[in-house]
Amino acid sequence: MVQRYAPLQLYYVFKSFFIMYAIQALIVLFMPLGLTAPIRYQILVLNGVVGAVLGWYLYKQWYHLDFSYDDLGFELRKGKSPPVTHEWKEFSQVSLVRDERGELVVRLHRDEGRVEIPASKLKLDPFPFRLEVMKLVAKTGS
Amino acid sequence: MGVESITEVMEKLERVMMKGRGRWVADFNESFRVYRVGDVTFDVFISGNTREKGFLISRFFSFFLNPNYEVGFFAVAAGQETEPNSRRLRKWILAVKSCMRKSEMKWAWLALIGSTISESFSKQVQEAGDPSVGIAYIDVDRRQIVSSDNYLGRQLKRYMRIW
Repeated sequence: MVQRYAPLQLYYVFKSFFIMYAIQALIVLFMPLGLTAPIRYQILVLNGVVGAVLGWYLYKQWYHLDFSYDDLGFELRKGKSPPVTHEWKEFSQVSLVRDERGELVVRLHRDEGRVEIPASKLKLDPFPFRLEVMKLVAKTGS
Repeated sequence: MGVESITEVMEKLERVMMKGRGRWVADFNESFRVYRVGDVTFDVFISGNTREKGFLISRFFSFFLNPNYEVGFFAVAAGQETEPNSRRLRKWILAVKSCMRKSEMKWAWLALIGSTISESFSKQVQEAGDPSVGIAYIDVDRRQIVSSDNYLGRQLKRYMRIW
């Protein structure tokens, strides 16, 4: 049975909103004061609305994670980039890694390098999820 | 509070070393389960470095004050099948030393998790003489930790608070 995880990452939603809002704020900053001063509240509201819409679009394009897996393999897609697809049998070892931001990722090792599943970002409990991945790798591996 | 099983304590210990107070011992960042070194299998192996990554200030102090050593933490369940004795302890230490040589680690810690420890084995743990390997025995039944009488052993006992 295919299991799918695509949680909303509030940090990245806010980050996308902030990027879009900051770009608009910069544009307004370089406009003549006489033009913007009489309608500053309207501009503020417009920036907020446009920031929210474009921020959401940016989040979906760049940051949103969509992860699905079954007994044979998994698929991980970040934003609109092409999905990364692998089979569990490609890997020989599984580890749990803490990155510099304190987030935990499940690292899959193989001869040609390694692949990482961002367990914390996917709102999965990394410790039991790592054990489940180990079972899947052991079951399908040679 | 009920008595926890060896497996539960092993899981708790891994969490402590990766995310909790274990980070005061070293910056442990990659954990393996069922890690084989020759014919010895460790239930948990966590690799790390003595230099904490952190953010600005901790990174700055760590860079100037801490040595840049690769380190490792090994844990093994000393249950009924692998009941601890002096021969087995020696085998575990040799496996740790072999892994240290291979991965160029300077320090390592070995945690044995089991039920009630015998007096003689407790003494063996305390007297384990290798200065580059700190050893601790976690007695799940009595909820006590016996550590080797060297700097690394004492450090491990101090920060490895799982209860």
